[in-house]
Amino acid sequence: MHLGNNYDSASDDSPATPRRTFRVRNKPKKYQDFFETTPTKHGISTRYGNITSEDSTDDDELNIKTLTLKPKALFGSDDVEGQDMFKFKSRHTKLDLQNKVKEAIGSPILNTPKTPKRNQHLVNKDEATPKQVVNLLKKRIIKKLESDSEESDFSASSSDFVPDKSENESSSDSSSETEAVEKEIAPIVRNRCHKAKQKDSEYIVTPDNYFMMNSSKKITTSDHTLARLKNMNLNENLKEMDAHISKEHQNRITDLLHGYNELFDKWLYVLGENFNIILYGIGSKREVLHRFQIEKLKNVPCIIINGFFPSLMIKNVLEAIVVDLLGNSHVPSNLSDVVNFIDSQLKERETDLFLIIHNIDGTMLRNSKAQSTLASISELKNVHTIATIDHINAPLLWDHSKLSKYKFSWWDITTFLPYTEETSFENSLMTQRSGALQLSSLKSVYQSLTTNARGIFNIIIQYQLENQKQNYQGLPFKDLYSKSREQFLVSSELALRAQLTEFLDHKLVKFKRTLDGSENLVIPIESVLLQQFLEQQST
Amino acid sequence: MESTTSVSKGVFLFPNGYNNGKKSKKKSSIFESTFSNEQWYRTFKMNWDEVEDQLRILHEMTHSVLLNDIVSYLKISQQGCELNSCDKIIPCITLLTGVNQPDHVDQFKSLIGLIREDVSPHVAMVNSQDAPTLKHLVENTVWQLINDDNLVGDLEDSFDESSKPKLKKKSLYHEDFTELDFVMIISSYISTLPIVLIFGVATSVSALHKSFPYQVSSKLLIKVFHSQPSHVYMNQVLENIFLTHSSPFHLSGKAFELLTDVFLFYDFSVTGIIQSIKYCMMDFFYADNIKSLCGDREKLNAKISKLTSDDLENIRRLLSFRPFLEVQDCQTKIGLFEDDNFFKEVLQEELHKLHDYLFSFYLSLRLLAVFVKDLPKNVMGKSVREIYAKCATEHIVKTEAFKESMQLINFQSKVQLLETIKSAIKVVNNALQSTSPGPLRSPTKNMLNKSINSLGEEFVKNIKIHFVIFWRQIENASTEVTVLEEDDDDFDLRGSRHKLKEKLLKATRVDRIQSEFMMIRSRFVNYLEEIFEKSLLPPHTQTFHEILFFTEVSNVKKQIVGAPRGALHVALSNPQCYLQCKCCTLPSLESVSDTIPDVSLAYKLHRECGKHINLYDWLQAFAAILCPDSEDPAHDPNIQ
Repeated sequence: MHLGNNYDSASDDSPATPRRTFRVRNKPKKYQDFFETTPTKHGISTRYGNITSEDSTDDDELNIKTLTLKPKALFGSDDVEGQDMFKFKSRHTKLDLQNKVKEAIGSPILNTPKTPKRNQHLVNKDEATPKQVVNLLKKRIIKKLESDSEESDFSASSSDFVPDKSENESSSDSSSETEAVEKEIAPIVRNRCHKAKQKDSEYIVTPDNYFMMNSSKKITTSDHTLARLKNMNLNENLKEMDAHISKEHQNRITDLLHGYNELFDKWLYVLGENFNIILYGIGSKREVLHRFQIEKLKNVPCIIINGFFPSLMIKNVLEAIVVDLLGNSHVPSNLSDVVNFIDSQLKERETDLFLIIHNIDGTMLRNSKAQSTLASISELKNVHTIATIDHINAPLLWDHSKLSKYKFSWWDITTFLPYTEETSFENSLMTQRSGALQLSSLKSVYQSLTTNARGIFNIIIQYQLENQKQNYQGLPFKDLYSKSREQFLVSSELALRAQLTEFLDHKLVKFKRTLDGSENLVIPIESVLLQQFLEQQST
Repeated sequence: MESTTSVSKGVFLFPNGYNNGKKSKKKSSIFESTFSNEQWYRTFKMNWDEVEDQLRILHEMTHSVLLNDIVSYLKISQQGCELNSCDKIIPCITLLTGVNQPDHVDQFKSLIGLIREDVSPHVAMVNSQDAPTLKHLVENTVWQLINDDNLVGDLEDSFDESSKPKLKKKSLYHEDFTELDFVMIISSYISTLPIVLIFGVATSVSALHKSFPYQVSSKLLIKVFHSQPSHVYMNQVLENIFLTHSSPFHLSGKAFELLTDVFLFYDFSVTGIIQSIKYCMMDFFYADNIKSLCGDREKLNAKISKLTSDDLENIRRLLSFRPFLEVQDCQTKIGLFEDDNFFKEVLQEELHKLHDYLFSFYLSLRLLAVFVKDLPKNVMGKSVREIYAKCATEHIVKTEAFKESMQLINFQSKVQLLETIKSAIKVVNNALQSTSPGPLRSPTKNMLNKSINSLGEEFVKNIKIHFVIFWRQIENASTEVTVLEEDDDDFDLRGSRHKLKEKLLKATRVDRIQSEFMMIRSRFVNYLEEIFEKSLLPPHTQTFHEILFFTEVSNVKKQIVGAPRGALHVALSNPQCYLQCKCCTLPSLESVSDTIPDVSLAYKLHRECGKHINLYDWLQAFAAILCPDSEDPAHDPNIQ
């Protein structure tokens, strides 16, 4: 590999300037790895091997550090590749999904409503190797550059883009033979599965890729909305849900569950040694735990906590233990008091208490107070906790001290069972939660706006917040125009309307006609949310 | 299951016969009733209790120096209190603990115990998370202080009450000092109430200075104590308790690496590593009666005689039994399988051999550590645990690192070599002292073991004798190097640089005659290689090593480290991995098919989207894969 040569030559220079090697060596390991996987960068870096071969004794300490600071047993070959989960994704177009579908079904669908002609054209452009296409692209980019000179941020990334392509071009220019070959190959590639090519490029991490992804400039996102659906009603076929698991899978799932039954004795053993148990993996784990309770915990007091219950308070849990089980009249207010109290009472009565927590990562248990309470209780010798997690980031709930209190042993209990109970509260009245969804969608739209458009939107929000009353009539268009003009956000009414269409598309703003015929603008979001949104933006 | 779903509550209690009124002194706890009849469980309990005892002793020992220092300082400050009280200065101790909190709890607990005994019964400990506000803090402290005397009184009263010349100590730990005002309050009482504050700080003293403004820190007379870094403590724990021949069970190289990696790269907590070792031990003993053979060597014979024929059958199935079997002759082979008593005898002999091996293995390990410790470059690592990890995975003598370090010993100076041999002899002596008087064996077997290959105590004694001899020889050896020089033309050199160069070149080519010291040294190194080659064979080469060594790391790894993210990803992207079904064979991880479970399908499709997912497209794609023939693509399927 040519890479290795580069490193060697670099290290040959380095002994002359010991200072420099010293500095280079100190670079974090991740960086080294990054260098090794990046084909485009080379030069100043040296590798371990070269370092050890220089035998200047004062650097020995450092050598050792770089050599030994590698976990040996933590990562095995059977681990899931980090690349699989966290890889740099290449830029997504709206076609990816369709291609996937096509691939799965086996034949291209011609008359789907989702593939207009224009998109087909885009596909060709993506894998453009022929020269004329490159030229075309180039021209287009240059034109773009000229047209929007105001946005200097993006011109950098798009100009990055140009040399990339022209490199390709020059290489094909230099040897006409290869060009011919390329032209021959090109149509084959195009006919073959589009996906295969893209996948290859995904594994090479290049900075360009990152900028492409984040430039947000030319990504053509799909403009479909849910409104296009004919039947929006989800409820009508909720009943069929069970039917979606095929017979074969059902059998396999029962096999899986039977396998888990054999773990029960071991769990009891582990719990008895003052470890707590946490279950993870896709699928509802309620049934497994329920069986565990029935089979093994028949004769011991046991408390079941539904962490997914939308109005669960940690106080309920404490009450259940202190009042309902131990028969006291009230719960002490201080956390450490409660814990001591429970501890002494359980010890005195020589009772073991089992806590079964379905979804310890449930919304109401996510605050640190709830978690530290649970951790302190679980730490007790006479309390044994079995918990489940489902959220992908659930382990982030626990810091170091909580984890050491919990003393979890981790078990992979993948069941593929539907989360029927766990999700049953999703649409209930109690969970008409603070509009977090609205807020986040508002945020994501806002982030994609230009600075001028953001300014305009801010004006509307501020006006709405200042004029809160029962019958808010909205901000008159004329006023908005004059305000925006004052701030140099727009120069003409037409431009303002153009900006507003974006908001209208995303339903951030509604036009309201007043009696006198003028147009007023209203944001159909509660003012509390708007306030919250403004605060988040300002921080 | 229906009983635990409700729209009005989320917590369900199942008393299951728990009766609140009377003390239930019926049967023992659920765990004991399930497991206590099992042989393996009793062995585990016994062994673990023993380990715990050892740990406690070690813990006290390691902390005793530091804690005694603190206590003696407290006593001094008690006398000096009167001096400070006029300036309203609070004597204050800062204990720099290093980063790990869970470990500190133990440390503080033993500190409090010591203070109670030696200085004053009035000690309060407050965690920062228990005292979010000043009110809580004061309440908590005062409550703890007065509760000792069973005094219950008003807050103000209590301060007055305790203004008798008693020493009060408060040890706060954690880093966020919310107690600015608290310090001020104390300082106003210091004239009537002798108080000493003890802060536990994880990082450095500057954290204290940063968090206190000047007027507060000026009230504090800070004395700093350093506690030992946690990796040193871990090394001690491992070396003194688990890496000894008397440890009830032994970790294989891989398992050991895993645990130390968790320590070094994840939590840095000694409590944590002890818990993981406990977990390994639990797994090791779980449902396996053979493991009852672990533990004291003296009781081995009795234990073997108790084994049932089922247990023996299990032992026969051990992998390491096979190579042993292959070298036996036909008659013995049959005997081993047919005759349980004969097998027991062989087993006994082999296990004693294994114990001998362990004894010399750990000793040689320590010796190697002594010799390698001061070598430049540290190719083998500095501590016993690093060397153990290497020795337990491969035959160390065959590795490059070992050869290199032996070479380096061959370059050591006389003084240094003498010193290392001295400390090595000390190690050997320690080992010999600590051993129980050798196991009782019939004289015939003793004769057998006298053979050259024998390990164990004889071997160690042998080493000792050799070392002492070498030490004497080296001490007396001269380091003079006699180089034969023909001083012919000294004067000529003065003029020409060229000739000097030539002469120097020649001098390098002349074979140096080794000095006496050098010769002995190389003999010594040869001897070292010899003993290490014999004694540091990796454990997995030994017959019946499974009985004493914990090897099934992969079982435990998942439970100790946990990989929820990975499990989710695997289950979703390759459901066949869990379901083992025939229908879901996927050509690659990215590909989709209509047979895979809905969740997996939705997951795979969502991965095709960028940061933002267009719900419509996503659901459409989902629908299109599930029912490609559907005329109405706008028909929405269910996705959870």
